[in-house]
Amino acid sequence: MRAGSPQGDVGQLPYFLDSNVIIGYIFHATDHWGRAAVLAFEDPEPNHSGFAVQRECFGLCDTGMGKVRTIQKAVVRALRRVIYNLKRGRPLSQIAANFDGDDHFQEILAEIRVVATGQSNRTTDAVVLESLQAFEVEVVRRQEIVRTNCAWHRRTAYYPDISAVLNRDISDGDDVTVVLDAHDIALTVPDLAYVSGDYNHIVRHADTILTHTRIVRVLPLGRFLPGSS
Amino acid sequence: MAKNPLLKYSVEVLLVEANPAGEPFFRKTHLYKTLFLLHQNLLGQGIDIGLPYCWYLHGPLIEAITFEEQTGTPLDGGYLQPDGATVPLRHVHDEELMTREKQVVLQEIRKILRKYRSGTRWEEGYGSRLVGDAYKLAPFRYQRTFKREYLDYLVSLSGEPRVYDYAYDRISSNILRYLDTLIKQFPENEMSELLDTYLAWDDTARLFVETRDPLDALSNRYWEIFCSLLRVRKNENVPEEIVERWERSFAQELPLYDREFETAHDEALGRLEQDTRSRDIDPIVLRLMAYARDECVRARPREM
Repeated sequence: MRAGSPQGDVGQLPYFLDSNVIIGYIFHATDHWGRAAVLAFEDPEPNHSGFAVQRECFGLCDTGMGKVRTIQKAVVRALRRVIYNLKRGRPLSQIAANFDGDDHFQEILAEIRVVATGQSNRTTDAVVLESLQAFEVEVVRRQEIVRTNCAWHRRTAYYPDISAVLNRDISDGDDVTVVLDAHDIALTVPDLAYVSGDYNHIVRHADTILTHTRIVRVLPLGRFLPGSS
Repeated sequence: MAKNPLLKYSVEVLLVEANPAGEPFFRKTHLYKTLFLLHQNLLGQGIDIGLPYCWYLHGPLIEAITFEEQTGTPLDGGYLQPDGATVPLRHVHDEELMTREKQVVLQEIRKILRKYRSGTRWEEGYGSRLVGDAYKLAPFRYQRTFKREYLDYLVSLSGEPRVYDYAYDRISSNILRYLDTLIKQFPENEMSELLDTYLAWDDTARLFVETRDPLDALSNRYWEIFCSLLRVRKNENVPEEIVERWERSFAQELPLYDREFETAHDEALGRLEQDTRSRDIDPIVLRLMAYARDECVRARPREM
């Protein structure tokens, strides 16, 4: 078994990566999901994905309107406003009040406060600016890796019969589209394993997917973590 | 008969006093700035000549359509020659005006011109001083800093490309100081719809400082979109339909500028030296990553 391969599995399976794996890799955090996404993506097995995932992550024809770019821009916009307010002399506590109800962003501001406290050579706004640049550089770098280290396929067949069966179990039509993309790739890429962190819509319906498509395995993302079974 | 005989009289007396022979040292920009100063000074004396103008790229700009409608004479071809100099005038229309009004207007014109002329001779640097005096009345301090200090500083650098090589530390610290001053002065209450565009430009400008890229073109582009909204917010005696047209034009142009700054920003990020940051910010970056990822997942359906 290679480092990073799904725990308990032997053999070489090419992967079909769902959008949550791609997103988990690009926005890399050190929690379980983040680590699993990196392990899955960087596993030596070939990575494949389809048009629906590509469109979801990067927008139609790479227009920059996908989730990755949209969310990246939202984070950047929020941090720019933090820097702006700091430079205008508003204290971090007052700025934090603008994010009432967004606990997640409050945690970011708290972390900024921790790092900036006791710094004599850097102002708080300089700390935020440096973090913003580091975030963006890393996201851009990882997007580039995803673009080059994953084979992106475009499906032209519709598979109405399989679609009808899948739609009976999988409630979200977009999820069915992604499964059909994976099935289409599996017709030409033998032993394709579908890797997904979507336990509710995909992993839960593994039996249905395996019964009606040419996908040979549905791998929950958590299986890439050491110690999982 | 002009709709606004006082405005017509004021322009014509100004031309006779400032440039009776239509010589090339008194041009469009001088006419606009002098008329603006005259308008402001007269308002202080209770006389309103109804000058239609807005604040724009180079200071107060006369709104030509309304001006012609009010005076019956177009600026271009009427009071301005094709080369930009003002026309020589022989006759001033002063019908139906009170003598006192005419006297006050004439006195104010002479008072303004005395600041820039010795006798009938224009003093060195009169044009720049005229623009500077008009800018002293600019509605936003931000405008003066951007146009008269920051952009002028960039212009002063562009003439000496080699100065970048041996004095870049000083130059970059000067530019960053301007950018910080501008942030403090941005008119957030009156230009709130431009804030994110401004911050995108500011962020990109700071990246350009790091990558040692010249800021002239990027800054001039931002100044264009700022002034596109400025003329909507700061104008006088301009009919509503014209201001509404400017507002529509601003709304249409804004996304184009946003995209342009975004592209410039992304390209500059690519040129940025990697891994020079301190490791102490890693926890912040990781939280930002997790935040972004969770926002992505929260966003359903798959297509955004």
